Amino acid sequence: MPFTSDEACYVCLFVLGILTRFVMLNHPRQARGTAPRTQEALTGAALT
Amino acid sequence: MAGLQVVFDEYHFGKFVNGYITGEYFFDIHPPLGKLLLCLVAWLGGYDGSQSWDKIGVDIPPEVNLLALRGAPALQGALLVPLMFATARALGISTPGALLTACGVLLDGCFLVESRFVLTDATLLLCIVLQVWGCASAAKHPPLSAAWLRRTLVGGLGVAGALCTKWTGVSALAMAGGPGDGGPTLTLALTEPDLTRTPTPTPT
Repeated sequence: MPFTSDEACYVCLFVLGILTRFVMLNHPRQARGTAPRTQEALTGAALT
Repeated sequence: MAGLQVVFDEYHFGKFVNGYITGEYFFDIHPPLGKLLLCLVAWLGGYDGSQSWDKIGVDIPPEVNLLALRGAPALQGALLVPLMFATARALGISTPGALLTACGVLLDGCFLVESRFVLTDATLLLCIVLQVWGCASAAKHPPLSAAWLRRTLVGGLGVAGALCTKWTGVSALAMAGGPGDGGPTLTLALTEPDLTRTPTPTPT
């Protein structure tokens, strides 16, 4: 077998990681700020 | 449908990236490594520092290469998943158990959000886990052997990276332990390996 099970896991996990992090990264549906006031209240600047 | 907008702490880190690119002075309480990595990838992607980050919800025009700005955290977040698997394996967890650990990182909402916006938390988490992996995998080799030294060096780089990204990275140093006072992971690395145990494959 060309790959051990661990090596196959590394590859699969990295591919899944890329997919979950990069897919729609630049798309308005993921990137819009839906509740600016709430989000602003959560920033460090607002807390300090 | 609303267009692209500044989200959450991009309000801060976007300004820092602009500051580095335009040469404008700014002050931040945290060390610069994470911000410099953000800036490097944004600069390589052609970002010129012209986007305004003055308010959460500010529109980002399509001509701004937002993928370059958000790409560095996304890549670090993607790398964190297999690294978590490797760390779990190095700590002696079975393959199914390590997969479960990695899937926790893969699918957790907080990790996803921190990896998909212009933030430095992905850098911090990657460095902290790198430190744990370095020390845990070093524990499988006799102290001061070449393999032990390589893995301990990687762990040290993880500590340094975490400390250079956010002050909360001090937790990585506390885990490793200071001089003469071994913390959990450094103590683990200095533990004599059980050579009678069947070795588990570790990445080189």
